[in-house]
Amino acid sequence: MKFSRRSVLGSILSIALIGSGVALADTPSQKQSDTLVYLHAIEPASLFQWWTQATYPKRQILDSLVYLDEKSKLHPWLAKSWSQRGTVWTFKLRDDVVFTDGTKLDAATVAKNFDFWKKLSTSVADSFFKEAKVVDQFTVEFHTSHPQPYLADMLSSALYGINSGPSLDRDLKELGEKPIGSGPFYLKEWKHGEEIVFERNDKYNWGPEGTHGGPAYLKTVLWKFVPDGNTRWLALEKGEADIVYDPPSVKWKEAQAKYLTSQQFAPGRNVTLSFNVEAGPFTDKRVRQAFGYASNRKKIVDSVFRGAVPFEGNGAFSQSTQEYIDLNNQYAYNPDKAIALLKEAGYVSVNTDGYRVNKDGKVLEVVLPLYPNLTNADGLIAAQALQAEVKKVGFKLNIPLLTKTELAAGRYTKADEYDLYQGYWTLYAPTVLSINFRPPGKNTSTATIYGRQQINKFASDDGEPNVHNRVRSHDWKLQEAIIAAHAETTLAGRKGKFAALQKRISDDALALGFYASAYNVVEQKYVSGLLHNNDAPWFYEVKKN
Amino acid sequence: MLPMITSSSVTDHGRGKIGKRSLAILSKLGQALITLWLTLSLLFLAQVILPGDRATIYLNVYEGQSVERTPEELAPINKEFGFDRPVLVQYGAYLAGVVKGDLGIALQSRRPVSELIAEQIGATAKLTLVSLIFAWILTLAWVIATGGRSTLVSRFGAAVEAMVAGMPQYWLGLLLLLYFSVRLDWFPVVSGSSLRGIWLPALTLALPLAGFLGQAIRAEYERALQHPHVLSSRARGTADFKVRVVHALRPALIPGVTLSGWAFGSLVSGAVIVENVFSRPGIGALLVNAVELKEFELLSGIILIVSLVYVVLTFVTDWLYTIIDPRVRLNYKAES
Amino acid sequence: MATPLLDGHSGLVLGATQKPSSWRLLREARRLPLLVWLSAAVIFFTAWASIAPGTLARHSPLETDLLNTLGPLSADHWLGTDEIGRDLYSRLVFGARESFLIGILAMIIAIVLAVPLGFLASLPPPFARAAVDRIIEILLSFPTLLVALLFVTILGQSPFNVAVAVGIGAAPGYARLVRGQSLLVRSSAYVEAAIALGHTRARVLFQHIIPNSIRPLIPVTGLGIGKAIVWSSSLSYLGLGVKPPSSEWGALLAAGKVQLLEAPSLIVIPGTAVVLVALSFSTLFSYIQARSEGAKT
Repeated sequence: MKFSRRSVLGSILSIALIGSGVALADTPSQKQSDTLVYLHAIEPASLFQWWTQATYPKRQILDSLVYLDEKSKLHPWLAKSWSQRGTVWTFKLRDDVVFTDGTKLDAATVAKNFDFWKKLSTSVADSFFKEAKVVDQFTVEFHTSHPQPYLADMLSSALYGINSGPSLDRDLKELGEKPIGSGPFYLKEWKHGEEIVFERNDKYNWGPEGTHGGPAYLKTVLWKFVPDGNTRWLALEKGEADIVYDPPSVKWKEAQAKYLTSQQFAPGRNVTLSFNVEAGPFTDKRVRQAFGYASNRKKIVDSVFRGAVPFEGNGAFSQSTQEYIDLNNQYAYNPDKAIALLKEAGYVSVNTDGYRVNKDGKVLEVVLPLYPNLTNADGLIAAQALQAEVKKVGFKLNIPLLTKTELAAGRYTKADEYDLYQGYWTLYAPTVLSINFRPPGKNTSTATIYGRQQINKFASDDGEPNVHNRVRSHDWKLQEAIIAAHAETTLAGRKGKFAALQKRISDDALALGFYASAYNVVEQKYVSGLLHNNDAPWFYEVKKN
Repeated sequence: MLPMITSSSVTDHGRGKIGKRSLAILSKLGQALITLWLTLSLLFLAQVILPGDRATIYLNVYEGQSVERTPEELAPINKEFGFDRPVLVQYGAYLAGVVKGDLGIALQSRRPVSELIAEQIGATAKLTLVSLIFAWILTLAWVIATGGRSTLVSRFGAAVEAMVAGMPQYWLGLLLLLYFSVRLDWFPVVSGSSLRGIWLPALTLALPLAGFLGQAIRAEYERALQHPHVLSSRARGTADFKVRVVHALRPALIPGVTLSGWAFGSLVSGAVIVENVFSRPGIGALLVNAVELKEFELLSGIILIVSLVYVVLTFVTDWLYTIIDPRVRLNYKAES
Repeated sequence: MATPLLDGHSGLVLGATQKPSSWRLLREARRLPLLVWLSAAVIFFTAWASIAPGTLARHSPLETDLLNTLGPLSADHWLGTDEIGRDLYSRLVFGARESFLIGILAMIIAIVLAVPLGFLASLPPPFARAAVDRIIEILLSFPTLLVALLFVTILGQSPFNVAVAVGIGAAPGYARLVRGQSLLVRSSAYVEAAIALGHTRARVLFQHIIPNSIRPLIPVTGLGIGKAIVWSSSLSYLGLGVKPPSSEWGALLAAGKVQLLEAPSLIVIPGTAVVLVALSFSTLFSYIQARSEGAKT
């Protein structure tokens, strides 16, 4: 077959043309030294959802009153100093802070932010926030409903970042699209489904104590959303990203060897299994404890997460929360003990499928709904392993995987619809107990309120619901003990009381720890200056070398 | 200067020719519009049969509460969206809205559907176009190379086409990704919207399509190779390549062109999966999201846009016929 | 997928000149091409796995082994294990039933919808034919996946709904075939003769048109089962079909996606299974189709 010279030339030319497009495209990330490419996993729908995933991006653009360093020490930031007396906290603010919309920071702005937070989530009131009062132009008081020694700690989170005053007057939808703060970056553009673009705030001059204080080193941050862990990992390997979040567990050891890694444990409650104590088989403490002994959680976590995320036995606190105690050995794997407890509770015989039945013939069947936003891929696998483990002692564990619609519609949140809840709560304070265990008032609904925050309807107090009380505890004495622990004036006193609370929750098996709410970050070796601020990475001091 | 004498002006009378031409175009347009209207109606019907009271679903997803709704709560929603109007009136409003370009609002993101689609459609369009070109190049190369030769080669060629045509895009895509991206590092993994990143996804889409096109073209091609005028040009000593490409190919293209309209539909389907495999932005991610969130407006909007392009393409391929096959052109003139 | 009207050749053209009797079929079976044998074997194996998975599998599909996660191919685990030690081979075997059933159900629904639809679409009389033809062709060529996605949205995500959605999505394509056949048969000499003989329209319809229009569908149906399995697994791959911890092949794909880099076999093997089964259906039924067409001429 003879080819004409012209056609050969033509094909070479066209291939060359297409090929040049090949050369154009991807310059490795490192070359652009003033732009950072960060790959995150989950994209929130709005930045004002009361959710860790909405908090992460906000850290770059909103400053907090105080800064929590990696040694868990507080430093002045927007507030120059602060003090507490009983239920009144006083904050003195800097006078030179300007938001990116030109307005100035003053006490009135902070008070306005306080009122705004209270409207967003019942958990704010459950953290004992009551009201804010302006004392003078740069002094503001926060009043708490009960003594709250951890207020400043909590305020260090971007969850309580300070927005500009006028920006809070906007429609909640707009606010969620583009919060306006005083941070080292401002949100330039949010391409839903792809990325958020942050640009440097050149006027920035109020970095927290201990940092360089002036404007950020980076000019642009491309905060990309890449839900698939393998894709994030590959992008890092190919040099297409500078920093990635949550690599696949199976790559963690390799990451530690080849790159810079950091593992942070979010404070608050780690990933725990909360039992529904109001209805269903878990109203009986023995059944709960049996589940604990049978679940073999440590082995599951070790096998599934391969060291990337450690086992955490404490069902109340994560290891980075103040006053945490180690309860990893309680409910260690003991199937015989589990069976004995189940028999005691009346589930004596085993049916042909291998599940236990009580004397009425009712199968020991429990439901653990799984939410795709709260559990990553490894978490879902861990739940399947859990299902297999507890089957060995006769539990029938159903793990329906909810679609996003079902999650939004509040499926599986009624008392008779779920028996177990798997989730975490990020808060730098033991007050997380109040959020998770305060009994509701007349309104006992625990439907999720994520959808609500996208429209101009704020968390309502009709009947004092507590959607975060997944245990469905009605134990007011527990809540009183939590309040009393906060009221202890000495650190030793508080430590003692919180230790007692954690033991109480564990002994009663209200909630069992499963795995730590770790967030793992991998950076290229040429990146320096990454800061972690209790629940988010912060790029203020990052430099690419 | 003598006026140009073309065959058309000889066979037809001047004014009559223009009239008949535009009549043909008008009738094609009419067909297109009717098709779109039917698609719209079917979509509206699907919306109506969606189980559950529409206002309740809307409120529940919006507020994140799964509760019984009182009539007082539902009334403003019904009023705002017109759910309480008679079905025919809603239908009319729906049609009117579409004509104006209003495809509704996506619930979760609260943005107009047309805006969401406009953002993502470029990437998918690019991918689809490049894939179509690849598919044609592959098909032509393969058919020319293996068509009409010894039975072994020919049958082999056909067998490969059949095998490739049935491959699921996710499988093909994953294999290509694993080998060429991960192992050989020839292509990026997070391809995004870059040019270099389009090769593998386009290839994934192009291969099965090339299989289908090949099957369609092959029979015609092999038949054409036996045509008298082809045999005679061989006898005159024309190079084999020229014979294969210039003489035999033209008539064989017709079934391929017929399929190109349908091919577009299959490419869009495939793009949904391929965009997922290669993490590319586009309609695919939008669609999957819409299904997960039961965003009916978004889904309908996408299907509508796809239909629109599909209908347009079908009529473009009609026109392409007239260029490729002169017999068709003359026939077309005769009947119009 | 809306199948274009093709010759259905896949390199296995035969020149049978008589309608094969069952004895002849048996004798000719020995002369079948190797590919057809292999296809039949694959389908047989899959069917066996669907009916009696316990006899083929070595472990329970849900049996975890936390000490042997992401294990390689071994004597005990022929295709390795997943992240919590479940045997992939056993999962594949147990999942065959669901995949198979979904494919069959989807095809049944597709055919049940396609036949009346196709006939209805062939009704318009000749003078309106040209215009209506075009419209119908376009409507019936709508991409299967998009229609399936639409119905998954309406019905919800479950194995049954996936089958229904894929069936509805594939129906238009088959309706086109039925329509084409019906038009052909109606203008055939056979039918003209019957009418000339004075048979009533009803008799012609039921004795000649319908059976002859449907007969070519039979091999196509077999082809279609393979395609239906591919479509439903694609839906599951996107996360919109069958969910874990089901062992259905599509669900295995979705689950295997997570370990793409570390253990690609977890997704490649189920994918290959789907492809093999689809190819087998395609090869076997193309062969049957070619034979039956050869028989008709």
